[in-house]
Amino acid sequence: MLKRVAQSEVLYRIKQNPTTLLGLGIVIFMFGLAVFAPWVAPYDPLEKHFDHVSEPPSRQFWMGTDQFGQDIFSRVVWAARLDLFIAATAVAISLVVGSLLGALSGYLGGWFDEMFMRLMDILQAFPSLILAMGIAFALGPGVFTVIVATSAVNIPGYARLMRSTLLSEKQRTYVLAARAVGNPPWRILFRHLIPNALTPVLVNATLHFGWAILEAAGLSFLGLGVAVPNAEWGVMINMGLQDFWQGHWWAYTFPGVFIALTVLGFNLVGDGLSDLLDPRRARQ
Amino acid sequence: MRVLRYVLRRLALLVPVLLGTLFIAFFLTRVLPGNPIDRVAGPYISQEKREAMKREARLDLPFYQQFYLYLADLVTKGDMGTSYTTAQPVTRDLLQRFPATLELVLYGMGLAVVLAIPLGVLSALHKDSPVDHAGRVIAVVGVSVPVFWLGLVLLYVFFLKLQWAPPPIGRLPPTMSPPPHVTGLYTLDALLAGQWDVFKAALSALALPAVSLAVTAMAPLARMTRSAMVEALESEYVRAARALGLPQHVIIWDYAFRNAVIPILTIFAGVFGYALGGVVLVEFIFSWPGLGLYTLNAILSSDFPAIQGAILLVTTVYVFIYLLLDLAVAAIDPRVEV
Amino acid sequence: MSLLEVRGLKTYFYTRRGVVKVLDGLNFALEPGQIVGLVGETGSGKSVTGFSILRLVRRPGRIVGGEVVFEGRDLLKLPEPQMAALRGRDIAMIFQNPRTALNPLITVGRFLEQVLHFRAGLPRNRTRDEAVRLLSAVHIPDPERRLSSYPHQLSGGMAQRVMIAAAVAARPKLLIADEPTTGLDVTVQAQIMRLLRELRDQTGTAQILITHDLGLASEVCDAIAVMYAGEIVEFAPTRTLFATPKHPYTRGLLASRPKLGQTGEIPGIRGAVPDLMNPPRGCRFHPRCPHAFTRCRVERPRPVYVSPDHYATCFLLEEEGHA
Repeated sequence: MLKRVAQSEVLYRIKQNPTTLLGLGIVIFMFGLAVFAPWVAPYDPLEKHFDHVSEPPSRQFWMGTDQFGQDIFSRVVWAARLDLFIAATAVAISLVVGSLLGALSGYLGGWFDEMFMRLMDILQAFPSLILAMGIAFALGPGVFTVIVATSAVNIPGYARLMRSTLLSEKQRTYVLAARAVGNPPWRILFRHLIPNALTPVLVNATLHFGWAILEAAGLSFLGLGVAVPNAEWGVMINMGLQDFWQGHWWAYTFPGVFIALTVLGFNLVGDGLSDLLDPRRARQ
Repeated sequence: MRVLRYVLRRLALLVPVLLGTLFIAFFLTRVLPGNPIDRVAGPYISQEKREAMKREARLDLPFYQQFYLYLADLVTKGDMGTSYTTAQPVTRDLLQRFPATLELVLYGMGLAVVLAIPLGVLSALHKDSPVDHAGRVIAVVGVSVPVFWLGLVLLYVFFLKLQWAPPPIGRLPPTMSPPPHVTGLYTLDALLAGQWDVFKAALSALALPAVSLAVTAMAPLARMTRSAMVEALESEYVRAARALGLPQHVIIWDYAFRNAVIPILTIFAGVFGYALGGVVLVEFIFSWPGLGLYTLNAILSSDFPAIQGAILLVTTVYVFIYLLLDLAVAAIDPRVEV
Repeated sequence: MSLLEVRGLKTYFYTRRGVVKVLDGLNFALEPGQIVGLVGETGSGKSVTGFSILRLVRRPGRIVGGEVVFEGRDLLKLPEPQMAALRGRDIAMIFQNPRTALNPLITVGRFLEQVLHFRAGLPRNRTRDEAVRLLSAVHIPDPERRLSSYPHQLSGGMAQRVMIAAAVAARPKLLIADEPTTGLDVTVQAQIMRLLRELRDQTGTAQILITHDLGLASEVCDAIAVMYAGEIVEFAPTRTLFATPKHPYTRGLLASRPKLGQTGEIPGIRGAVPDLMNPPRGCRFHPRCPHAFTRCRVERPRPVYVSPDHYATCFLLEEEGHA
């Protein structure tokens, strides 16, 4: 009953908030592009039209072509698939690994917790992009590399968040009650603590999604991520940079717009969600 | 005196963090693919010569001995080894590059603060008004735009098309020599030396990269300013101040903003710290001869000493920012004991 | 002429779940120099009354009707700048939790000097001496030294004294004290109440004392308004109220006070404060009233005057022939 009320209220407030709806629309649109890329894109993203090199947008090539004569529109659409896949996987990995480690650390406490948190301190003092660059270079270019590098730098954040929410939940009466009736610790952890601490973690994940796209595209842009000439937004901007002096603005503008739009979508949804789930705002 | 003791205690606590990062940097470089000696030496150097180079770089020793010796050199002589690529002491390389990055980040962050804080305050004062919504949109768009793409677009418009900005080839035009070295920040040094033309050239070279950095840094600052101001404005003490009829400017600045400053500073430290690493994307586009580009090149060429030195420097600056933050908070908030 | 006259004051809170009619037609008056207690349970709308008078009701609350006539002017019709000019100078307020009502980042001295400069119109070079004088007037020992204290260094009682000093700095004609002693030690409570009373005796500042503690109110108030669910159910001079309470709710309140030497169970009022989003039809007290009859369930009672300064909103009085 209470849950139903809460749900209908969430729906109501989403409807009340046009920017969250806009964000949701963008996100759905991008996922649509990713799923239907083969049907949306007019050309193969890697097909080189040698008689149409570096052409500005035209009826034949809606967003122009790059220096190899590849159709930018088709590449941008296919890149949606790759970038969303990278970001989703990276967010999922850092969320699961970080939360589990954080939960374990918070639950066990003691010297393990102490050591673990010091390690997280160190990892967080490490400039994240530089750490990602190092990891990316160590693994060599590729999709897998970007996923690992992007997720690794975010594990400490999730671990911290999970641990702190867990520690506050741990003091709650319902946990003490569950313990008092003799539930085993692992059961309390998985049945009671983790589900209750999950809300802030999930809100964080939505906001993090956009950030992961930026990070992944940045790595590829620097030449440390997805290899040229694959259809990935960061790679495309990097390739556009080669053409910068010729004034071929379309080569980097469109992929950048797609990154910005996607990230914007996720940020709007994330903002909306955190507003919704923020207990302080909900009380009003 | 108490402050000094506090700083010393904090510095002591920083040592393990720095050691930890250095250790990770060491470990990461050692698992990097590619033998740096082969790369530096090229194919025409004899095997004996290679061995000698390897010994000199201590790469023949076990990992822990390399780490220990590096630390010993660092602590006793301030020596971070010699870069394989520039053939200069890493310490000297870093001292050359760091001011370039620092100047860029300072201008970028300064600009972000100047734009974001009034925006956040205005949004909070006119909560749920068009101003607030517009501010929110600006902030969320700013944080969604990839900084490297923004740099390119700005360059296209202001350099290629309008020709207002100088080309993206570093801190000064090639025809101009840097001002006499005092701080390494060209704009400041040029002012100190009274070289107006150098100052103007350095400033116009800074403009686009600094704006790029500022746009992305603005969003979290503006958002935090807004929410901290809203919270303070809804507090009991602001209500009490209103009930006493204190004038609006006193309530906004002495009551709300003063209390909002602490969370704003905290976010600012985070943004600043992130910018120190993220600046590499901007330096890459503008060929800015800073620390980020140096680190990128060092990673790409397996230049172990350079990577270690750069990471150590950036983390040190990073942890110092947080130390400064804590000192600033202690200075503002009487409840915080130093 | 009354100093303050509240007529038909309505303050509603527009929440997402619906409209909460916290105040629904409130009436009372206050003479110059008088101390009136607003007494009621939590949620009866006492504090909202205080904030409504000063027009400082927070969103989603809004004053939707009525008049607050202060010295002949309806405050609800004043433009905001004039209202702001009046706050602190003509009407001041002190709060329930003095330690959160003080800005934690500025010193007591700075706070008082600001109030003295901006509200009492003192030139900057005289504010310091006046701040010291104010602090000693509220019996704060070593006032010179206290100027440099921060709120977190003060005890609750001390913080409330500072608030009082600030509130009376501009010599307002009316002071609204919202639960000024809640959370303070009993001895400190008594000191603060004595201070408020002393203030009235020396400067003639009228006061509205908002409290849930009938006993406390009886010690300092000249008259008491008993509030229930957003309405004043009985208003009378303190002595009259205690001697001849007319409203069943007031009687219940008086009966539920423990007395010295009493043995056995203390009688309470059964039931709970109603939900103001869906208040009971008719008399809002009828679900809990032992004497409720049919009329109470459908019709809203109006004030019935048993004497010129004593009224209660109860149909029983009409039945007794007071109307």
